[in-house]
Amino acid sequence: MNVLIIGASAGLGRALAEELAQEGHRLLLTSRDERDLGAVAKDLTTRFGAQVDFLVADLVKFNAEHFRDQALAILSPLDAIFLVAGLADDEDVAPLSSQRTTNLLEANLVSPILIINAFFEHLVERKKTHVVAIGSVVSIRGRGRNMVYGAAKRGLEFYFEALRHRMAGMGCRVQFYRAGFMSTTMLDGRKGFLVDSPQSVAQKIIRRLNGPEGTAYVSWIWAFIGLVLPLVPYWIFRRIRI
Amino acid sequence: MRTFNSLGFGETAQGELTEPDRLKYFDSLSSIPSAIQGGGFSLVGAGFGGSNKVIGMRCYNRIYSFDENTGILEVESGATLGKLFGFLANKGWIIPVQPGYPGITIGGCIAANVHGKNQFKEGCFGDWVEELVLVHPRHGRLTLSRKSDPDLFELTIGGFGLTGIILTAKLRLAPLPSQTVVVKPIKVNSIEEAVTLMSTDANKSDFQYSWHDMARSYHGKGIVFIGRFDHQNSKPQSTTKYQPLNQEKLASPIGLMNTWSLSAMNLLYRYLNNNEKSLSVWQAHFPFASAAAYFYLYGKRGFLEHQVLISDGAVSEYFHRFRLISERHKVPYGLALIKLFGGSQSLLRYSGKGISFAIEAPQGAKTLALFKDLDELDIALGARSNLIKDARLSASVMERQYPQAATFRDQLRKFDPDRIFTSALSERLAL
Repeated sequence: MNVLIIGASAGLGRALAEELAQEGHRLLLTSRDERDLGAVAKDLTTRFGAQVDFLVADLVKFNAEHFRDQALAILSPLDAIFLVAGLADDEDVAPLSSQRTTNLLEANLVSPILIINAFFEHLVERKKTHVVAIGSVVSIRGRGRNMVYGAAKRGLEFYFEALRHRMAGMGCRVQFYRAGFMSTTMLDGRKGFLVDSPQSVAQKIIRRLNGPEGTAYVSWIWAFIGLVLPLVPYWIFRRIRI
Repeated sequence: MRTFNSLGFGETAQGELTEPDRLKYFDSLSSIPSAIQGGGFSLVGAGFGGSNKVIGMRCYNRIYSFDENTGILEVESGATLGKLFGFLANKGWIIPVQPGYPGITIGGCIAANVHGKNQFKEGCFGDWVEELVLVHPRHGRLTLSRKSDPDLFELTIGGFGLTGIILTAKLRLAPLPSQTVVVKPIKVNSIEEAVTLMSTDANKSDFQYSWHDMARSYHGKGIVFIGRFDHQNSKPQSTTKYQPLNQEKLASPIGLMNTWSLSAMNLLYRYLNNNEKSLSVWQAHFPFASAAAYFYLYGKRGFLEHQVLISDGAVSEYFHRFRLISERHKVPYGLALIKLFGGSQSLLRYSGKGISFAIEAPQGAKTLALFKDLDELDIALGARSNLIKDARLSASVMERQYPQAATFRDQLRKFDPDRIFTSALSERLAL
């Protein structure tokens, strides 16, 4: 497969790139920093002999058409797009400045939608393609932290529900994951039974690539929390500090 | 904030872990004092303490290049020996010097200038480092080698991570002669017998070390293990998986290492090591890959290790006095190992010609009193302690054993007057 990974320099995106490179797929990696991309590309090429290219792209102030043209000039046709990039903000509690709010919405909601729109025709024409996007368990239920991030991810989830419906019968498999906590910088070294490694999450996502479409959790424990948390009465939920 | 422990719980400190994963992190490094952590398996507090901040390097674990013509590997410092082993063994190459657990990182190996089971032949880890990139808030990114900045390069190898963050390294590798090692156990009745045997056999072996039963008697009845690459019978590595080492979670609530349990374990160990064995190179290099549970038996109180390099001429006098001291204290040793060492010594590195002798004992007042007496014995006979293994060694003992301690301190302060990179080890040894 020819695979485009948006947000491949670290965490889950990098782990997905590693899994896919190991399986011999050809990759185009994107993220904000050329040095990180170069380091990941060198690693995958050296270890697996994979063909890996990269393209610098910032999902804030993003030009999707320009990005699509650049990406397809490097790697075409594409068989799969993984939308992994996410932007979190430690200060993401109301009130948040307009600029930071906009940045969060652009990176986590607007730009992923723009990317889908830009690549829509390509994916449909190609047939047997995959679009995989990564949401977050923070959007299970709104709370006073990660407010904009959670709203953006919930919005993206809705968009992917609509996208699945729109693409039904067109040969493009649409999958959306509510990923749980992963041991990445976003968690700052915290560990526990709710925390999974990006490698393990990536393996599960790749194994399920030809599996069911729609929204899914990566682990059973989060699927359970996703089921129960919305049922918790608000007067209890508002006392929960998570 | 969380609690950091050295392996064996010998040294402990509170701190906050930051685990960056982008290279831009190093563009604007803060001057706030920090410790740098690799795998976190050091027997001393080298990767935490000294300040509240701990920078974890595990995400920087990428391989940049490997040239099969020159055998030069360029790698980020957070890469583990286990990860590299799998990649290299398939290509017929190996990092010639490796300590016994695969979760240890390249940065840790350089900062501690570690040794393997072949020090007499291949030297220490630093001997195989060709170049490294060091990052420091005041100096930026520096590319160091024996040619470009030899003083800082030498200070960084075995410098306990105090000169800055080792970001990448170029290592010289060795062709892997075979994927299989034949290990022959030879029973000995004393430490002295082991030393004689190992010295005469040095040229004919690729690895060697000896194990001694010192649970009840201190004579040192034991086994010398002589390992040779098996050129005729090279089988691919069956596994490169290893048990995660998590002593905080898995250590026994109470210590299970006492005279009786150790005697029983030693008896079993002797019984299991009667015959010649054919091991994969992985098994031969990383005995603790499948024996992490050994450390848990010491319990949450843990253990202390004392490792000394004894000059050849002082061996018989050293062990004569060692037995007298041990008889007086009657502490059961959990592990007693001998390795043959070669090369020369400089700064604070544990290297040079002689016999390396390591012992482990359950933590407690009796062990502390015993190790204190051993410090005096070491000083009296010119033996040097391994600073990266002994979690309670004092600055004054180090100064009496390492004549270049003051040089190390001066060079470090000259390079970094603010002394940004610290650790529990650097505080204890006043580095």
